[in-house]
Amino acid sequence: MSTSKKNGLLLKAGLLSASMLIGVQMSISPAIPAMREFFVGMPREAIESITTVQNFSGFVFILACP
Amino acid sequence: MGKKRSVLLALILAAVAGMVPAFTGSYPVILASRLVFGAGVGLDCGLAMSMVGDFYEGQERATLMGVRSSTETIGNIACTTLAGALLGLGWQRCFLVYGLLLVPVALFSLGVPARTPQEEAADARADTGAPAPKQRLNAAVFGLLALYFTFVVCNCGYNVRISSVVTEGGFATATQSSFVISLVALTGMVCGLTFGRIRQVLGLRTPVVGLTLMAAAMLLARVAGSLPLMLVSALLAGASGTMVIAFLTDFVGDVCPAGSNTLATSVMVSGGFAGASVTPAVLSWVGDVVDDASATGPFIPLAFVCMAVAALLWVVLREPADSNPGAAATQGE
Repeated sequence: MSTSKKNGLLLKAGLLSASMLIGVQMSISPAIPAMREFFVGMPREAIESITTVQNFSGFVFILACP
Repeated sequence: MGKKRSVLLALILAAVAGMVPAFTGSYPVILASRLVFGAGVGLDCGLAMSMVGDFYEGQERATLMGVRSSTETIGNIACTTLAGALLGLGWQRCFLVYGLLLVPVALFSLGVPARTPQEEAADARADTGAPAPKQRLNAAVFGLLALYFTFVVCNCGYNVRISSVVTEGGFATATQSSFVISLVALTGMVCGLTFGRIRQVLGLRTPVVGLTLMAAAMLLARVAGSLPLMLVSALLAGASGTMVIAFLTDFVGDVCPAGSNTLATSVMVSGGFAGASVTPAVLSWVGDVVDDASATGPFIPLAFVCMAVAALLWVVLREPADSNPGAAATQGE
């Protein structure tokens, strides 16, 4: 494999891997039922917010520096 | 700072903040760490999408946008499955999965040049004293933004509730529910890998089909009485998510004003973040409106929203008679 082809593949891998962060945001959602048992008495949306609240700061961050 | 350093900072920030809840049971601290995690995601997200557009164009860009979407899915599958496995050690240990973000840190730092073609062009302009072109938005971008927001609320709502649906329905344990969530992601990945072809075949009907699949997934989850039916629902939701999101992130590059790809992508991403952040509140509100506190309570109204938007897009989006989908434009522009 030529160096330029290797660099091209590495560029694609690097660019695409950065998107992994977007996909893993809600990976902890299987823990929601267990978290509801741990945080007794808390509303359902408060627990679910643990898996989604990061989107709020993401939203603010993007608006602040588009 | 430059795009490369910004992305690296974002990945490291998210990896560290993401793992904090593994070491504390304090709700405020967990929420704060998730907000910091979100700042990393926010910094990374728009750049990760727009940088594909910086280096590639045309059909290769469309294909890579689909593969990019699949990369999200690979991360999702790996982390969700691992989180499900770690759940056996306690729910807090699930958060250790964010240590996997060190893999993209290594790949990105090795593979991506310090300056993108756009940054080099900006450097050249600065050398000649030419002003940087001002990025603008148009009505089409705002229309796509509204669509993106709406879809993310529905799709994220499905993903947030799916483990509760499975466990409350008695179909599987919480750990096993991670496999259902992973199936959503796996289907999304397959769709992402073939997105270039799907986009060619369906053209501007891609989001119409995607939204219809989302509606079908929600309705099926609502009536499913067994794990196999939930798996079918997960298949539909996974295909839908990739089809609509990959289409929108690609299509916005076709309809935004020339040279405004970065701004348009950032605006779209912010719409997605806004949609996801309000999802639990929307689910709770819709559940109250229909007076159904069950996990699938909001699914029927949201399915109707998906179908209504799909019908609207069927009417509004038209393929130009003499061009390919990549050169398509919205009717009336």
